[in-house]
Amino acid sequence: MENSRKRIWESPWGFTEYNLIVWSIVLVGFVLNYNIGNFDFFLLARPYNFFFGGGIVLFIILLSLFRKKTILFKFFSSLELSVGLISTLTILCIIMGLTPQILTSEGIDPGIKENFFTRLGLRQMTTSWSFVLIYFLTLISLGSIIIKRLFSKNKKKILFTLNHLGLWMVLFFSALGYSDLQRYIMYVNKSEIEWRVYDSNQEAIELPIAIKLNDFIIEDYIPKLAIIDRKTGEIEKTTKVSYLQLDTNTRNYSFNGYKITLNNYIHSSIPNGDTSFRFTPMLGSTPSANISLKDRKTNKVISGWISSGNYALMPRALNIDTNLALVMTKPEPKAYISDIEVFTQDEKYKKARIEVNKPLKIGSWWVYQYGYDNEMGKLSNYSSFELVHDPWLYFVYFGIFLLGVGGVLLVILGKKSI
Amino acid sequence: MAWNYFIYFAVISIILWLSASVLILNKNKIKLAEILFISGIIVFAGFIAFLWRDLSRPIFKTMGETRLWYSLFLTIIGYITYKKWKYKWLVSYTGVVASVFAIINILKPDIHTQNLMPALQSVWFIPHVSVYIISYSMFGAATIASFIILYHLSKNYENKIVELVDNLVYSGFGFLLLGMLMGAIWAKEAWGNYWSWDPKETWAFLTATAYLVFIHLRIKYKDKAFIYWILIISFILLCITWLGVSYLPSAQSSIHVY
Repeated sequence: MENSRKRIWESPWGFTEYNLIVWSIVLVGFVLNYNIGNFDFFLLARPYNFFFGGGIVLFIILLSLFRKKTILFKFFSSLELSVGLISTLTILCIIMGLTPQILTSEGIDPGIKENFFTRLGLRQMTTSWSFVLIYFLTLISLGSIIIKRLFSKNKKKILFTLNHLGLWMVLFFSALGYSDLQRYIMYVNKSEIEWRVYDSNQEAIELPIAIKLNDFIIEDYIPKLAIIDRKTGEIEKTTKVSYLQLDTNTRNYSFNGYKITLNNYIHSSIPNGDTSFRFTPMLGSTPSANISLKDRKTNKVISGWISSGNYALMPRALNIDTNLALVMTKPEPKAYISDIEVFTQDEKYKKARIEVNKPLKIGSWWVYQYGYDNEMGKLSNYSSFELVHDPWLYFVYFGIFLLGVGGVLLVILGKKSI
Repeated sequence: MAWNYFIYFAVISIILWLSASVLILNKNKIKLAEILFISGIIVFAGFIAFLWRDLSRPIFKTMGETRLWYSLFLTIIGYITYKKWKYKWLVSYTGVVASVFAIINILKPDIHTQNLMPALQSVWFIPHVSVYIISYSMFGAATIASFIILYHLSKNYENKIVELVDNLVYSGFGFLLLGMLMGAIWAKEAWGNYWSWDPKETWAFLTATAYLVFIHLRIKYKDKAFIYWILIISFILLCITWLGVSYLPSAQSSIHVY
C-alpha cells in the first residue's frame, strides 16, 4: 500500500486525509447544532437565496479562474474529496434512515423531548448543520469537478457533464428553492367559491386564486367476499384464500371449497324489504349481490343477498352454518374526483376534474386533490385541495432531465461511459 | 376490439422470446436466437401499432396498456445491451420477464386497474417499479461476481470478471437513477413534492450514494478487497431499502409501505 508508507498529512494527500477533513466538518456541524440549533432554511428565503446561490456560483467561477494558481481548486475538484463527501453523506443518511425523524411533513412532532441526540440534529437530519455543510460542500466540489472536466483533454465529456451537471442543478435548485415553495390547503364546500387557504400553522391566507367545487365524487371498486367466524367477526383462519374478488363479467367462482355463483350484482342499491335489494342510484346506497353458495363436499346449496352496508345501512351476511358466514367487504376507493372551476386574479379560467395523480396547473400554481370528509365518505360536503407554488421547479426538472439522459446512456454504454 | 386479437400476437411473441432465451445459451444457435428474439419484438410492436390505430388515442391509459410498453421496451433494451456487452443472460432474462408481463395481460388485461389505490394509479407505476427491479437484479449479479473476485484475490483473477462487475454496476446504476427520477416526477404529480425524505426515499438515496462510492473509489483506490466489500455492503443496504424499510422504527409513517 502506497498510502500506508507515506506519513499522514504528507503531500500528496490521499483518501485518509480528505476523509479526516470531511469528518472534521461534520464535527463542526455537530458543535454548531448543539449550540445554536438546526439550520433554518427560511433564512434562505427570497432574496437571500439569490445572494447565497450567486455566492456559490461566484466562488466556483473564481476557483476555476485561478485554478492554476491555487491549490484550493485542486482540493475541491479532487476525486478523494468526492469519495469523502459521498461516503459521509451515505453514513449521515444511514443514521437518518435508522432514527425516526421528528421533522415530518406535518411539522415537528411536539411529543419529542430534547436530549443529546436531538441537539446534535440527528433526528432532524436534513436541517442539521452537519448535513447542510456537507450538502453545500458537495455543491462546490461538484461544480469544480464539472469545470475541471470541461477544461481537460478527456474526450468523454458528454455523459460526465450530463450526470454531474444534472445532479448539481437538482441539488442546487431544490435546496435554494425550498424556502420559496408555497404550499397551502384549501377547503371548498359543494357549489361554493373559496379563495382562503391555510398554511402549515393553520393560519388563513387569501390567495389570488379561487376554486368553485361543482361536485365531489368517490368511485368504488366492486367489493370482495370473505368467510368470517360468526362469533368473532374475524376472517376464518382455516380458509386458504382470504378474499375473493368479484367482477361483473364472471358468474362462477371457486372459493375455499365452495362453488360461488354470482346471480346478480348491484353496485348502488338499497334494501327492498327484508329479502332483496334494488337498484337505487343515490349517495347512501351500498353494493349488494345475490349469491348461491354450494359446498363441494356436501352439495348443499344456500342462496341469498349479501351487502357491504355503510354508515346508515346494516351489512348483510349469508350464514353458511352455525360457525361461518359469507360477507361482502367494504368497497375500496377507486378514485376521488373533484369537478372544479378555477379562477385567478389575472383572469385565467379553467374547468377541470382533478383527482389523485391528476393535478391541474393554472398560471404558476398547481392544484392537487388533497382530502374530503372521511366520516361522511361519499356524502362529503366538501373537498380539500393542496395548492403548490414552486417557482424553481423547472430548474430542478431541467436537472432531472439531464440526469435522465445520463441514466439512459449509463444503461446503454455501461463501463464504456467512463 | 383490437384487444381481442392480443392473445394471437402475444402467444407468438412469447414463444419467440422464450425459445430465443433458451437457444442463446447454445453456442451454435446464437444467430437463430437473435433472429427469433427480434421477430418477437416486431410482432409485439406490430400489435401496439394496431391497438393504437384501433383506439385512435395514445395507449398509456390503463395498467394493461403500460404493461404492453414494458414488455416492448424491456426486450429492446435487453437486446441492445446484449449486443453491446455480449452477456447472453440479458437476452434470457429480459425475454422471460417480458413474457411474464405479456402473460399477465392475456390472463387479465386490466388486473391492476381493479383495486389499485388511487395514489398508485399512474403511468409511472410500472416503469418506476420495473426499472428498479432490473437494477436490483443487475446489482445482485454484481454482488455474486464480487464474492468470486474476493475469493480469487490472492491468486491471479481474470480481468474479464472485473469488467463484468463494472458494466453491471454502471448499467444497474443507470436503471437505479432512472427509477429514482421517475419516482420523483410521480411524487410531484401525486403529492406535489418531488422529494420529501420519506424513509423509503432516504434509503433509496443512500443505496444510490453507496454505489456511487464504489463507482468513484474504483477509479483510483489501491486496496481491491476494500472496493469489492463496498459493493457487497451496498447490496446489503439495497436489500434493506427493498425489503427491510417497512420493519424499521423510522418508517412507521412511510407512504411507501405497501
